[in-house]
Amino acid sequence: MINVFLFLSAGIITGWCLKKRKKALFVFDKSLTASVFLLLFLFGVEAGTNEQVTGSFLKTGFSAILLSTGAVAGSIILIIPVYKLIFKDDPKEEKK
Amino acid sequence: MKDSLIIIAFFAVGLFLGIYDFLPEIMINNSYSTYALYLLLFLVGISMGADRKTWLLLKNKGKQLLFVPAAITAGSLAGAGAVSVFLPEISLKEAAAVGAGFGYYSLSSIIIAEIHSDLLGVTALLSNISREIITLALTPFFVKYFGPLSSVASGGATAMDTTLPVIAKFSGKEIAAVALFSGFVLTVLTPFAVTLILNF
Repeated sequence: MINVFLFLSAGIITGWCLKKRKKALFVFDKSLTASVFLLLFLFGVEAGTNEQVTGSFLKTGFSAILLSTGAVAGSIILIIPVYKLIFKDDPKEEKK
Repeated sequence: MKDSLIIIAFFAVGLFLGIYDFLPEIMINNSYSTYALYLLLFLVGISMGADRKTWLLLKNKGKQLLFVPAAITAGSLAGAGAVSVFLPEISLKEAAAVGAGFGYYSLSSIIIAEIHSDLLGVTALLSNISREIITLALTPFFVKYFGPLSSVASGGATAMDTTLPVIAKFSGKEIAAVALFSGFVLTVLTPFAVTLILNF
């Protein structure tokens, strides 16, 4: 877990420092796209050779859709009072 | 949308090759993916850190607007967690971790597969892809019945890129700025939240 945070934070700091180096950022952006493709490919291979995964595709798909429905419903329920708080009660959020 | 399809295609090709055993043993039993994940996290961090405009928006207007991603975070975790009652094979913690993907399927599924299990990783991938699809398809309905911010809530982390056009169209320009902000905060939060929940 520490490693996840370490690499992310190191990246955020590096990105912050590089924010004006357009060329370097372009290269990093392309490498990001490439590594997402590579990792998802590897993840696919791993999942494909895992019988626990290949034996239960339909069930996994069903759970997945149910989970996203729950997450979307929960988010929408909680955003309704926030909308009222930010956009209705306040005169408008334009004090700056 | 094109990028999403390419990403899914890479996963699908890998899956196909894995299932039909087309690959040499060395590609299957390796630990490259851990190092590749670290590289990915570093690169994701760079793209976040360099997004100066959004950081400034966060600094200037952050306080009140932070309620938006905060509500979406609480709602996603609670909503996915609640659904786990109907899914005996998925624990509350696992469900919350999938919910914490906020639609950012590539990174959340890769992290979950790496630190938890392939099966939950695949669940996270499919679940968060479907969150994006639900948002693209149902935004007009959500906005009509639950107000303009509901599209931002449904989009989660994708509200800053893939679902932004549909949000801007149906919720308006003012909400599009909120979507960009909220999506960005959730995008940054995803890897941290997923990892923390699974280690809880």
